[in-house]
Amino acid sequence: MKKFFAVLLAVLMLPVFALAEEAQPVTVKVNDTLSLEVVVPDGYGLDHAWYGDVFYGQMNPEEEGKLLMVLSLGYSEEYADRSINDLSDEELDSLIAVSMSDFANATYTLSETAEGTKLIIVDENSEHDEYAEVFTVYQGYFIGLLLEPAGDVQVSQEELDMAIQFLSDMQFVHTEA
Amino acid sequence: MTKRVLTALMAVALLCTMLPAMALANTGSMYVQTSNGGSVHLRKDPIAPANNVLTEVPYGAVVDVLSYLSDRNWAHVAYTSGGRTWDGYMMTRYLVVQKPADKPGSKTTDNTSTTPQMPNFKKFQLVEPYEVVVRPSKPNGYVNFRWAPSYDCQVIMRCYAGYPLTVIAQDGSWAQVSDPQTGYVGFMNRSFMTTVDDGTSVGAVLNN
Repeated sequence: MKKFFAVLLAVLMLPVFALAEEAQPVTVKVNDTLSLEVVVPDGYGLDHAWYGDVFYGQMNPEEEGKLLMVLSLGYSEEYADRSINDLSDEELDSLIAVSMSDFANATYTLSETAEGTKLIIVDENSEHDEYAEVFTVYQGYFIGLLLEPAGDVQVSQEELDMAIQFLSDMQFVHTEA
Repeated sequence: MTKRVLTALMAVALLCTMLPAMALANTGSMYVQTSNGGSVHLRKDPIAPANNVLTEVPYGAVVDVLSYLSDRNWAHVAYTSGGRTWDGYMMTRYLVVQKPADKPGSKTTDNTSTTPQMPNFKKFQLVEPYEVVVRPSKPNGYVNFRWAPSYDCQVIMRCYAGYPLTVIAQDGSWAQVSDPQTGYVGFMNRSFMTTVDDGTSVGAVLNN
């Protein structure tokens, strides 16, 4: 009988643990007209800062040895009010070229968020540096998510999936100026 | 390496309070430059995004910078085209002192080569040290500060827009720079930096 209650209690507690572990969205103000709602991945803490009119959010792993992620976001007149999916093929090529500038031996792949927003994933493969950055343009904002592994290893597919999930979960919340 | 990012940002923010005199730099004629060769909005108010666009100013056009707003993100400019003059506001990050090169092409990239690029120090010449600030090609970007003048050489740290450095030697493409805040000496591609005489970039330093 004691076993039965123990099992019952464990079963009843499961949803409570599940709720406790589910990451909750965090709202951070970018500027007077925009806030971001982001879901910080489990095991990460978020620090943010502004440099001029550019917002930086650094997601620090709570455990050593895990990937570091830096979100940056700045309004771009070059893509004013448009998103990456609105760009012509020529404009997308130009954006890819800009995204890959200052990388050494980089390759890129195109992916997309759950909602279908295109993502440019630039992967650095030089001898000394292993990192990747995911770029996109959304509503005129140029967005980058830098992914830097703790050691001299490549960004794994699992880490890339986490980054894409982070960008998929990110919501723009507009407010009046 | 990027753990230094926010620390560096804070350091620059502190530095901002030490450079008030530079805020007055560079009014007069300046050129419009964008990373993709696109035009820039001239706005009625210094707010973006907003429904306040007066006109579009094409890549390479000349505007007359009348003043800078206190936050240095915006410049009050006059722009004349087709016999008409507009008076409005433009983001300072798109204004440069020197006439920009031809519009960037749509070539995807030429740095996908897997052939290692060996650093070449032979053409480096010592120069009278001068101050520069970092000017990334991307609106949100950073520029890599490397051990040697080659994209294949290790990145020491990443510097964000407006980060101040001192050039001590240079060749046609790369500069040897020192970072007054960390004491590091390294190399950065010259296309990603500009002198502090360029009011736009000084503005970036002054912003916080």
